[in-house]
Amino acid sequence: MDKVNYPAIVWNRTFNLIFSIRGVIALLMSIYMVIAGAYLIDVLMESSTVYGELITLFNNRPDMQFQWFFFDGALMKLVTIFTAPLFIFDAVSGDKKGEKIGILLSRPITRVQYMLINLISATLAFGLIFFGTLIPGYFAIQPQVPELTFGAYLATCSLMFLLGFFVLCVTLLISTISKSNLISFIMAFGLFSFLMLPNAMKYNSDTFMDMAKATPHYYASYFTTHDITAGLYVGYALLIVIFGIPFLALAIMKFQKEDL
Amino acid sequence: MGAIEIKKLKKDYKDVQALKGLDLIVEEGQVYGFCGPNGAGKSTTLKILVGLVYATGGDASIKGIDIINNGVEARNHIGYLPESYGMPGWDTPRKFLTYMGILSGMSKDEVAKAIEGIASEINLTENLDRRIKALSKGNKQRVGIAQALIHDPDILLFDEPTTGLDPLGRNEVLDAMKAFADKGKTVLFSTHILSDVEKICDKVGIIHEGLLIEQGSPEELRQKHGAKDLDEVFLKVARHG
Repeated sequence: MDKVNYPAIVWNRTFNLIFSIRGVIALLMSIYMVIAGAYLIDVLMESSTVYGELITLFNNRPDMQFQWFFFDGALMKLVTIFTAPLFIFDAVSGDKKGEKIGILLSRPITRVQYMLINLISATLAFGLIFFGTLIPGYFAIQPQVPELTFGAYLATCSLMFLLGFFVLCVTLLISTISKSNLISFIMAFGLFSFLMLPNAMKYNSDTFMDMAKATPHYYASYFTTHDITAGLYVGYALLIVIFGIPFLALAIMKFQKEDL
Repeated sequence: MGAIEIKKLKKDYKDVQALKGLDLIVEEGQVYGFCGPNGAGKSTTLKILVGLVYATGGDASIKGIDIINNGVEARNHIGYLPESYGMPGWDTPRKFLTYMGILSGMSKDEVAKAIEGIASEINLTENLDRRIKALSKGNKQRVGIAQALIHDPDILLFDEPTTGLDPLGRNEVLDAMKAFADKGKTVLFSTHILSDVEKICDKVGIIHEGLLIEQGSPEELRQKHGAKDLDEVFLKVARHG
């Protein structure tokens, strides 16, 4: 018998995730993000509107700078944080609850490989839908923001994708410790809703700002409100990934020890 | 060397000692019936052999491969059917079995060929392209057996494979197991339906409170205990521990 063909396994699982109800929901959310982003920019660029006044107000704040990233990026964050968990919240808890795990792990694969197959498949499924809608979205947004370069746009998208990776690592841990899909779902979406709170309010409160700084979400959002510098981007990207690794390690350690 | 060798196997859960030093040897090509009352440790033993549960003491090997330190290699030789299991209801048996084959290290062509062969052997051919959730319980069990056989393992571990099936389905499963043994495969299956054991087993082991308390061919056990069938043997042995 040949060695286990991991790319084929990962692709098979990724395909199943994309062509499922969750895949459709993620796709719709992603498309909404692009359309809403393009629409918001269109409206906000009109300074005669109420929104235009709002921009002026923001621009009067010394710590604020209005850019298209602020609005489109805010949408990106929301969609990232609430789309990514869809692909993994039931990865382990679902296999356990649905009693599929016995059959899956009776194959010649290790538990670490099983966890990595789940994570990589979910990351790929999320990434394909995310970039698959955002890259065409550039061509909808760019005509309204002539100074927007494809590189800057892709850099923001990539940072959001890495934020998605962090979200996936945390959700994998939640799925590993949860007894059921419902608990895992509530814990994952509850946690990320809570995480959104200080980030959403950070401009109005120093306390919230300090709380926000403790999360990788902050670093992603920082870039959506500030100019992107290549060196800093790499640093923050690394930081977001490093935030995710301990959660992945914890998930694997927990699953390794468990009697199934 | 036995196909399956278990020495002084122990498993402690929080407040329960499920296995208290189990010794068991299953020879190659043998059909071994693993019997015992509920909670005796049958499923735990099978799960330890597959690597789903960790032993707290003792040794176990499959074809001489230590399952504790070399579980992945040992699992290449094992086909496992759990007592209860789930399958993706929206998938067809063909798709599910293909995934299981790939997970076992087979190429797509190898899996496709194996699916056709196994399906015709266990009467699954006409249901290969229906959704699993639309299949009857007996047919779902056939899919379960097919996934255990897909990578052509030498050793089959079946956990209560006939429970919940009607007499027709039970007979089909038993016939299939006998056919595998005739091909030289080793079968270890747990059950508490002792008439199943009498029909196909070369050897029977009775486990009680985590220990193997009786072992032999069905005929030997009947003679030893002066019983007319294995049910009577089981009751005598289990009552006296």
